[in-house]
Amino acid sequence: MFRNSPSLFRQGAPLLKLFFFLLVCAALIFSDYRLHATEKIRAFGQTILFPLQQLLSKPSQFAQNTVNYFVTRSAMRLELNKQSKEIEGLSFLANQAEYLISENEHLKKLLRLPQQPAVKTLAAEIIYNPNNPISQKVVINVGESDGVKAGMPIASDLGILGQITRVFSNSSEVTLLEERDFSIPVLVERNGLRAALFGVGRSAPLELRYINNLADLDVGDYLNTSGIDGTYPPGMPVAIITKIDRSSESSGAIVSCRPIAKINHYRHLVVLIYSPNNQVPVPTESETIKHKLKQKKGAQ
Amino acid sequence: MKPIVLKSTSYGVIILTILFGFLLNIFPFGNSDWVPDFMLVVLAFWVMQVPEKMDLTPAFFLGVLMDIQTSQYLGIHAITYLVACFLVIVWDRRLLNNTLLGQSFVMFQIFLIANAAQLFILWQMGTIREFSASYLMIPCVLQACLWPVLKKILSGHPAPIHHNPL
Repeated sequence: MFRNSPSLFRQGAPLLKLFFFLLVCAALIFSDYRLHATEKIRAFGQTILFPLQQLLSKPSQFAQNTVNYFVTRSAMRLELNKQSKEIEGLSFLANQAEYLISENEHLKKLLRLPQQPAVKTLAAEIIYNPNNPISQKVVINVGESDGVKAGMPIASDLGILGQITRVFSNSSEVTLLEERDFSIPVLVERNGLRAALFGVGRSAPLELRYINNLADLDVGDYLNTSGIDGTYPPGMPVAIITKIDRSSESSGAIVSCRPIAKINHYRHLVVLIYSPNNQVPVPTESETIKHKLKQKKGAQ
Repeated sequence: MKPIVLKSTSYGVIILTILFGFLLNIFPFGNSDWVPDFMLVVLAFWVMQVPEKMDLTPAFFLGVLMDIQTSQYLGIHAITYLVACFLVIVWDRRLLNNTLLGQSFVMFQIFLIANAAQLFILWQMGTIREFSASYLMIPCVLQACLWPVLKKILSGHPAPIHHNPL
């Protein structure tokens, strides 16, 4: 009886196949995590999946369009009246802003400060929000063909939302502020204190790290982009300080912040096409390694 | 008495149902931890039902596709799918000789092991710092609940043949 009892191998369990594919998986994970060498596979897969993703984002759009269609004419007329009044008020403000901009330019010329380049914008729509426990990302419907490049900032009407981290031909992937270890250089609006803001993870407050216990910060302070990194245009609102913990045990204060832009709310956002003209070459790790190798070769 | 001819499910039905599962997977539910993996349930069902047509190879490729979709490190979902499908093959007698409810319980264990394997790898890589109980459990419970539904929908298909004869 016992002799004939089926062993695991005689049952035909595909152990060999399992080990082979697990090895392939391990190789894939390693090349993705350490070497970032799988972008081509990703781009290929994304082009296959793009039509499906587009199709699946349609139902909600369709529902919206139907609702819009049944908005009555009278409601439209009311809205139009309201808006024309608003435009009157805004045009007055715009005149003032124009005056301020020209004055600002003139003063900057006097002081010989570099001019801020104008920020162009590109409207985009979120296709979907990948379900992934370790990252906070959205995929938008503009890509390489629209002139989008990796690193461009993303904003909504209220403030900065995140940054483009991967570009495909017709879509691109945006990493949101809440992503763990996402960092953005900021300036405290009230006193100009420079700091770096970090993401902590899904629905956790953002953290202002490396802050002295005695730093002049207060709950309710606004944090704007500083523009020092050359990635984000200066003066865009990012977050508000919500809590400061100046415990004596740790060397620094623990500062929690809330993003100003509503991160998980709307379908539409804006890509900021921004290239400052005072760019300095960024030292990269790979170059220094190459340099060292060259030095070694030279020594030999 | 008419001879009983056991016809295997055609590839068309398998591909269509898996595609449907995939479409449900990529439906924009948002980034929340409760969303079940519909495609994994369909895949596991076909691996149980027609093991001669579905095995670990499609599981691997569908897993990689899912990784691209969720912008996960390539291979993470693939490992989940491989582990789940392997367990379905190894535990096929435990599944096939069971009632519908019993099958659901076995499938719950399989989904739980596969999901735990995924979380364990992510944890080892240092990308998550703690096990999230809700992410581990809720999708598995929902997938196990989907199992009888799927079984009822696709039960018009011929009875499975034990591919591991005793």
